[in-house]
Order: sequence, then C-alpha cells, then structure tokens
Amino acid sequence: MIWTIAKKEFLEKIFDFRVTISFVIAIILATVVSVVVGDEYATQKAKYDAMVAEAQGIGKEIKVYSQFRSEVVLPPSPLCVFSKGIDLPTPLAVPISPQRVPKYDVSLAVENPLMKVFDSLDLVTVFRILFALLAILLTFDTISGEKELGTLRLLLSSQVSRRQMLVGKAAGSIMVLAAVATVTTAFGLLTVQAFANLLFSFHQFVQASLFLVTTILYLTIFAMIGTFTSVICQRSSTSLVLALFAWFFIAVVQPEINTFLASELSPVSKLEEIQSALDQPSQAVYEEFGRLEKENASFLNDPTGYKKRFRGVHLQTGVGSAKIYPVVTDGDFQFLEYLIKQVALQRKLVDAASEEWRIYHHLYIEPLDKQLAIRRSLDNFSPAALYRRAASLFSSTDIVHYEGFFDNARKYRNECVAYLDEKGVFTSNAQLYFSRLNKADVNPVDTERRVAQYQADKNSIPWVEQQSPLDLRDAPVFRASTMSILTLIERAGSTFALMLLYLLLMAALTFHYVEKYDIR
Amino acid sequence: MIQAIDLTKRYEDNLLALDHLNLDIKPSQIYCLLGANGAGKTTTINLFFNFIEPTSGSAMINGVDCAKDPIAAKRHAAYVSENVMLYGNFTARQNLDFFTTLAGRKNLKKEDYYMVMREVGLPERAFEQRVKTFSKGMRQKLGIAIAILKQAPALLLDEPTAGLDPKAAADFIDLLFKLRKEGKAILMSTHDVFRAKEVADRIGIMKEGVLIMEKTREDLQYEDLEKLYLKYMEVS
Amino acid sequence: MIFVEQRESGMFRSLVWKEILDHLLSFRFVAGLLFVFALFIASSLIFSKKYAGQYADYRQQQQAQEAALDVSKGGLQRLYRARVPTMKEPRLTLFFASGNESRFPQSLTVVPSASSRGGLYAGMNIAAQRSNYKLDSYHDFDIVFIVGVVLSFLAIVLSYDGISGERARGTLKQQLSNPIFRIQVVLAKYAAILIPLLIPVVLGSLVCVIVILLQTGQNILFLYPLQSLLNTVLSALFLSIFVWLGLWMSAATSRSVTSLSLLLLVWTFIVILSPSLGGMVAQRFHHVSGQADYDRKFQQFVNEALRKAPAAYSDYYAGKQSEQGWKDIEQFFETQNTVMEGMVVSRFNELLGQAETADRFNFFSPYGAFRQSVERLSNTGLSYHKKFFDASLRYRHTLASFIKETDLRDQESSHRLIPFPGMLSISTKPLDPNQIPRFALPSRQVSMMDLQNALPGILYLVFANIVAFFLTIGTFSRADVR
Repeated sequence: MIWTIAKKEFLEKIFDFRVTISFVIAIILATVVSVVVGDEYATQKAKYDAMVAEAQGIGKEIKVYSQFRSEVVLPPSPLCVFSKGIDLPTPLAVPISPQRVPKYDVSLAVENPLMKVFDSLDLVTVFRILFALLAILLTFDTISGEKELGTLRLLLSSQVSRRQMLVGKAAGSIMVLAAVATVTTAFGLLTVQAFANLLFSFHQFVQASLFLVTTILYLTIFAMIGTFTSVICQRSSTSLVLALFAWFFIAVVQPEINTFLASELSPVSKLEEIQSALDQPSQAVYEEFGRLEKENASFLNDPTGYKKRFRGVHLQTGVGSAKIYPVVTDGDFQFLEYLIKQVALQRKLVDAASEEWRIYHHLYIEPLDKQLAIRRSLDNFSPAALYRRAASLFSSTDIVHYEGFFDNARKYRNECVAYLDEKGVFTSNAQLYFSRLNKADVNPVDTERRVAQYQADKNSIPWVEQQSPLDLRDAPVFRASTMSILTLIERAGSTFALMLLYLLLMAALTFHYVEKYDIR
Repeated sequence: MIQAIDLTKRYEDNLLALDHLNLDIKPSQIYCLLGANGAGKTTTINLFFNFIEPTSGSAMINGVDCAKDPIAAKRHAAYVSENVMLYGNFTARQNLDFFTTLAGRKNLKKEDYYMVMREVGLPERAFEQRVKTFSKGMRQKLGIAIAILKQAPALLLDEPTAGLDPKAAADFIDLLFKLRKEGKAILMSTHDVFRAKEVADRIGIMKEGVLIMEKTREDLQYEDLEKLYLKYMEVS
Repeated sequence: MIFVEQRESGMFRSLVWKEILDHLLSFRFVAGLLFVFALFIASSLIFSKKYAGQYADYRQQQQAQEAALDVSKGGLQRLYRARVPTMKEPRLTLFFASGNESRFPQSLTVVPSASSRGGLYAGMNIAAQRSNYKLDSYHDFDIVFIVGVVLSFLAIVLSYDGISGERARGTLKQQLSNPIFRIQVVLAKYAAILIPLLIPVVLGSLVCVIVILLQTGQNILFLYPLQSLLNTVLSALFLSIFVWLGLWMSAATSRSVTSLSLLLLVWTFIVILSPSLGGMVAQRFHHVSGQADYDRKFQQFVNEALRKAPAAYSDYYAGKQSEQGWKDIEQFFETQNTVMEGMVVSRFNELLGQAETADRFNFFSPYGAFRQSVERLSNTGLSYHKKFFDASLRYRHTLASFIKETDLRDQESSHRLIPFPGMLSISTKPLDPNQIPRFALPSRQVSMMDLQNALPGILYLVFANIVAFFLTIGTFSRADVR
C-alpha cells in the first residue's frame, strides 16, 4: 500500500517542471564548478608533483647534518568539488627545519588577493540551497494540495491509514530528491575526473558516496519540513509561505548568521599585536648571540683585513645568515671555540622556536579555536550548517583535515630535531663545513692550496668537506596520514546523529498532526 | 441588443466549441441557453466579453462588435460569473464600490450601494462584512448587485443558480424578472431546466457547440421541456 | 492610452488604490515589512559597531603614519627611507555596499626612496588583518544585500499571483468585463506592488540613517545626499525587475503555485548562486602568472640590473668614490626604480584584470549589475581599491619630490639621493612635520568618473525593466483570463 502511493508520487513528480528546472539549474552550476575544480586540480597536481620533486631534491643537497631541512607538501584534493570547506590553498609546501615550527602561515594565501572578494561555489552550496528549495516545492502541498484537489477523501476512503499515506507520499518525494541528487553528484564526479584527468581512488569514491548519503539525509529533513507544514495548514498557500520561511531561514540565513555571531562574540588577535610576545623567546637567544659576538669582537671585526677576507673561504655555521669569516689558519682555535659556542646557542634557538609556537598557539590560535567552537555549537541548531560540516568532512576540506596535516608536520619536525640531537649535531663539530664562493670571486689557486693544506691535517682542523649528499636513510620520514573511512564516519557520527534527530523530530510532529487533520 | 451572427470558436487543439451560433435577444427579454457541460454555453458568454476571440462570425452588444471594439461593447453589458468569488478581504460595499468605479460610474454614495444591496436581498449586517464570510447565495446576490449598478442594457449570466438552495434561487429569479421589466436584455446559461422554463422568454438548447433547438415560452406551454431536452440530448 | 478620458482616469486610480489596499491588508506584506524593518535596524546597528571599530583601527594606523613621518630626529634622511603606511579611510558608504572590503588589503606601504619593489608594497598586510582562517567568510549585511536578496524575495512573494490569483478567483474576468484595457490592469498591479515595496526601502533607509546618527554621530544622508538618492533609484529599478518577473510568470502560468515555484528557482539562481560564478569563470579563463613566477622575475631583474651597475657602484665598494660617481649611481637607481615601479603597477593591473573579468561576468545578472553600480557610486570595493592604489603611488612621488626639493634648500646637504644606507646623504636637519604632505584620498564627492562608471549598471537595469515590461504586457495581452 505504501509502496503504491510512493510509486505514484514518484512518477507524478519526477517529470514535474519544478524538478526539471531545478535539475537544469543544478547541472549548469555543477558543470561550472566541476570544470573549474577539475582544471584547477590538474594545474595544482602539476605544481604538487613539482613541489614533491623539489622536496626530494632537497635531500640531495644536504651535505652535512647542519644543513638538514625538509619540506612536506599538502596535496590538492579533487574532492573539493563537493565542498570547498575552508578553502585553503593547495598544494601547500611547508618547510621543515629545526629553527621553525611548521604552522599555517596566512600569507601563503591565494595567488591573487583581489580575487578573495569573490565567492566560489561548490556542490554542497547548490544542494544546500537549491535542492532544499526543491524539497519544499515538492512537499508543501502533500496533504493540503490533495485536499484542494479533492482526492484526499478518495485516498482515505480506501484501506490506507493516514500515517501510511503520509509515509508513502513522503517516500515518493524523497525518492525524487534522491534521484536528482545522485544524478547531479555523479555528473559532478565524472566531469571533475574528466577535466582533472584522473580517476578517483576507491577511498575517494567512498567519500563521494558518503557525501551523497549526507545530502539525501539533509534533503529528507526538508522534505519532512514541507510535509509538516502541509499537514498543519489548511491551505496550500499558507503551507508554502511557512515552508519557504523555514527554508530561507535554515538554508540561507542560519549558516551565515552562525559565522557572523561567532566572529562577533569572541575576539581574535592581530598578528602584529602579538608579534613582540612571539619574538621574545628567540630575542633572548639573539641577545646571547650578540654577547658572544661582542666577546669575540676583536678578531671578527678586524677592519684592515676585511677586504682580503671577503675573498676568502666562506664559512657557514647554519645560523642562517652568511657571515664571512677569515680563512682559518693554523692555530686560530679561538675562532673555532667561538664557532662551537655558537652551535650550542643554536640548539637554544630550536627550543625558542618551540616556545614561540606555544605562545603563538596560546595567543593567536586559541582565540580562533574559540570562535570555531562557538560556531560549532551554533551549528548544532542548524541542519544546513550540520550538512555543510559533514560534507566538508567527507571532502577532506574541513579544518580538522588541514590541522591534521600540520600536526603531522609538527610531529615530523620534532622527530627531525630528535634525530639531529641523536647525531650530535648541536654538540659537535658536525655543524661545520666550508663551501666555496662563486668561483669567479675566489682565487682558485689560493683556495685549493689552503684546502690541500687543511685536508692533509684533517685531525687538527675539525671540519668536514662533503661533496656527495649525506646518507639520510635513517632519517625520519614524513607520514601523511589520510583518515580511514571508518575514522571519517566516526567523526561524522555526532553530526549525523543531530541531523537524524531533526529528521525524527519533524517526522514525529508530522505524524502527530496528521491525525488531527481536517479533511473536509 | 445581444446578437451572435454565425459565431464560431475553434480552439488550438482543434476542438470546435461553437459552431455558427445565431442569437438575437431584444430588450426586455430573458433568453436561457441550456445545455450539458461542455456544450458551449460558457464559451458563448466569454466571446461576448472578449475573454477569447472568435474564429469567425461576430458577437454584438447593442450593435457594437465585441471583438473589434471590446471596450465600447463592454460598456453595454454586465457580467455575473458562475462562481462569484470577489475580493475576500474587502467588504461587500468595498467590492461594489470598486467594480462600479471600474464600470465608469463615479460619486456614488454609501446609501446608493446599500439601496442596491437591499434590492438584491442581502441582509443589512452583510453590507460591511468581509466577502470571504459570505455563503454562495449571498455572493451570487452581490454579483447581481454589481451588474445592476453597472446600469448596462445587456446582462449576461453564467450558470447563476448553480449550487443555490431553492429559496436563494427563487429570490434570484425574482430579481431577473424585475430587471426584465426595466428593459434589460438578459442572456442566461444554465442546465437547470426547471428554472429555465420558469423564467425564460426563449430557450435555446445547445449540444456540442450547435444550437439545435429554439423555443419560445408559448411553444413550451404545451410541452414537457424536460422530456424535450433529454430527447434532443440523445440525438447525435 | 491610459488616461484617455476623464472617466477612465478614475478607473485607473481606483484599480491602483484597490490593489494597494489588498496588499497592505495581506499577511505576507505585513510580515515581510516587519521582517525587513527588523533587518534594516539590525544591519545599521551592526554597521555602526563595525564602523566604530574600523575608525579605532584607522586612528591607530594614523598614529603609525605619524610615527613614520617623524622627522624630528634624522630629518629628511630618515624620512627618505621610512616606510609610510597609506590607509583607506573608513567610509559611511560602506553601509550601502560593503564591497567585501574586509577581504582586501586595507593599507599599503610606500617608501619614498623606492629602495625596492618600486617603493610600493602592495601585498596583503596579513599581520594587520583581524580574521579567522578557520572560519569561512560570510556575506556582509549591507543595503545591497537587504534590497537585493530580501526585498527581491518579498517582491516575488507579492507579485507571483498577481494575475493567476485573480484568474483563479474569477475576479480577473469580472474586472475585464468592464471597459478597461488589459494594460491598465497590469500597470495598476505593478504600481500597487512597487509602491508598497518602496515603503520599506525609503522608511528603512531613514531608520538606518537615524540609528547610525545615534551610534556614530554622523549623518549619512547629509554627508552623502547624491549617493543616497541614486542608491534608492537603483534599488527601485532592481526591485521593479522582480515585480515584472513575478507578474509575467503569474500571467504566463495557470496556477499560482507554478508561478511561485518557477520564480523562486530563478530567484535562487540569480541572487544566491550566480554571484559566485564570476570568480570561478575568471579564475578558469583569465590566467595570471603565479606569485612565485612574479617574484622570480623581479629578482632576475634586480640581479641583471646589479650586473649592469655603473663602474661607480663597484668603485664604491672598492673604496674609491668620486663626485661624478655619485651622479651615476643616483641615475642608475632612479632608472631601476622606474622600471620596478612599472613592474609593480603592471602586476597590480594584471591581478586587477582578473578581478575585473569576474566582475564583468557577474554583471550579466541583475544582482551583479546592481551591486557593482552601488559599489562604484559609494566608492567601495574593487573600483575604490584601484583608486587607492593609484593614489598611494602618487603619494610616493609626492613625498619623493617634496624631499628632493626641501633637500635642495639645505646648503649643508650633499644632495645624494641614493636609497642605500652607506650612500645616502641628504639633509638631516629637523623639519616642521606639518610641512610634510599627507596621504589623502577624498571619497565623499561623486565625481563625473564615478557616475560614468555607474552608468552601465543603471542602463542595464533600465533595459532589463523594459524587457520584462514588454514580456509581461505581451504575455498578458494574449493570456487566457477565464
């Protein structure tokens, strides 16, 4: 019985002009979105591959442990066609070095800051607004329309109960919505793959399906809202106005208001306001550097030999700025002691960087997270915001996804620091090396003579000249973790639960009121 | 006053709704157009008010062609629709006021409206009541009031007594008699055979767009109109 | 045609009056009106608060500017290498159209000596933004939003059953059984919807003026009379399109529900979804070179230039200087700066070009045209940013020439206007800070240029109205009124 009614509803509505028009609009928009995203992805993928190659190339440039640095790259994801989430730029190359804790730097932003004025579209927005409207337009006259047509009494004069009829009718509309959503999603999926020149992996395909499931759940909520208003209003026109109001508020306005309220209710700090606090830990270390330099000023600032020394050997201690030191002649161990003390201070710089990160997190990130938490709580009251949240999750474009990457990057950096500690980089001369300046500037005969001299007596002058890259096979490796499907579902659990709650609430109300409906 | 000369209407889907209809209704005459649903009665009335255009032939009111000069034609004819709905949020008087102004009459006072409403038999309390609270009978009366106030020489009514209880229908018929005495030419479509026999000076029976029979009151005195009607309905 | 006879004019007036009454009495109009009023009040309160915050930030930045222009110690020499911020003044007209300015750079930095990057740092000063990258951005609650989204929705809700509703009730036939023209009926309905719609626009705007006046002490109507008037006109034109669309749909369809459904779907597309298309299309079809490439090109130029540095340049580093040498070096840097400035400007224009393509695409939607016209008249958004950029560039030149001229008057100065610390040697005498030119970008007057820029939008809206009008009249003349 229910199935008969559902089938009739489905057939009646699937070719209805409302569905056709919505579908046409959705396909047009989905096409633009998919083409743009697909195209973007192709470019980004090329960039990503280049970045990864560059990152790997870094390993080959490392000749001593003091030079150790790395780069991790956040890959682009074609799934952003479903939900652009917080729309961070990809691919993102994050440098890893002991002296800097990797974090999201806002200046890594878009290529064209002027384009930030324009919003971009994704499928979740099209579904959230357009299809929710379609859900309303299909269901607002479920009961009240039939009454006006006069067929309601006819239906109920057969053996079907009011509730059965309701289930059948709602099911019919939901099937239509599910069909349209599926076709549009599939279309988007195929178009993106075509333009991005790739094939979705199984994992990504499952994510896409989860997105579709969430979409259908969301649309079902709106179908229920429409059915509900149809049951409590005697006339279709009243039902429509009420349902439209609900749609306008829930789908269009609420998500924006939530973000707005979150931004207004809790302040965030400007980077320039906290800059001095951030600079403090390293400032202390730089002061020590300064003191050290002052102590050794005599042989560092010898003005007479400066010009000669400029054409000497270039010694780098890994602090970052190239300081030109005199060529070390035998016996200048005072200079070497200075260098070793510098090395020890650098370890303090590493700690200072970690400390700076803690301050940064406390002063800058925590207020951001607070706003996010407020928004999250507000979103719990909005089915549309919940839908968007789940969709971002399944598209791997939500904030947790990005933060996860950066968390891994930070973990990796810590591992690198531990690795370098293990190698005794900060406590031994492994930091030191010398390289040659631009050949044109250096008197080659002179330098080679010096090099030969030093190489003959390597034990006395403890530094290493390396020509071939270091063997870094025991170095830590960055593990980019992708969340498994189960983890994703688990994390979406609360969102799903809330959406189901809203659905059940609307369904319960509808079922309750249908009994009271005046069918005259 | 009300004339149809070979009036024909064929719709886009090739349905021949009216086939060479000929009518001539003089002042102080009530003509009833009888027929089943879909016979062409409503189409006829629609053609007189230029709600649709004729395929061929002409509809004339007071000598004015309804299709060629609809505005002029509409000055001479008043319309009462099958189901008078009007503007629910307005009162009876406000509705009257609006349509009367549209008809071209200005500066009518409240009393004038009240008088007409009394004439048609509306209860006093309804004068300033919102129309959406009216019963069907009251609404039909209001429709006639509108037509009366237009003071047009021709009056065309589309199934005016459909759905009215016997008392309301009888009141309505009395009104029509009064209007006939005032000299109006009245065309009324109906499928209420009983009323038609009661009120009409002439009766025309339509079937599938064709006027198959016309009888005057004298002719009908000696015939059972009902039997005649049903007999002609059977004729293919 | 409408007012042919004295008798007929009474009919038309009666029609309009009846329509207006019908609307004013309807639930949807009253509810819509209250809702819109609430929105106007809320948005003006929010704006006032934001404006106060913006002004506080602006004052802070002005202090920074003063600090940069401090010539009490170091005189012109210090000023020459100072990094002077130029700022956008917070404008009340942002209430009309916010232009998404919060997503733009709000300030630029100029360096009179143009020591690099042509002396103009046009990048986003991220450190000075107060934003949360973890949250997605929301649409600002400006007049364009309220009129463009909410009031257009209301326009549809009021007009979707203009014809079809009357047809269903039979009152359309009743009206047309009288000697009136169909066009009179449509025009009456149009006037009767548009006039009540403009009531919230005008009254709501007045409410906003009052709220903003109370909160910030500034009278936006008094300060921007022409903009206020033009924006009301634009709003009326924009809403009018939707009224015609609604009436057209209601004439073309048999059931009011059909009409409303179609209108809602079209509205959603025009107002909510299509504004996002411009940016995406521009990104896809209008390519700009990457920032990394641009930086690389810049660096290449600098390296190349250094290689071609005059002999005097390396002489300086060798320890030999001569008077002629200074002139050569000065000339060299000036040429370099001119080229670098050219590169910065062309890069800006390249980026702007992409954004303008997006704007041009969005222009095809009435909502896009409406928004852009208001932005241009209100001096906000993209067009204003371009003005700001150009003005900052001019300011750098102004400062540089001021320094040069003032330096010439100091007899003790060596007049060596070279950006680098060792080589720079100009007047270090303290100056009267009031003599130093300040950055100014007047945004109050509506210039001829602004009006010209807004003209396409106005013409488009007028044209759209005319098209919609003829569609409606055309459809209704042939519509089935039974």
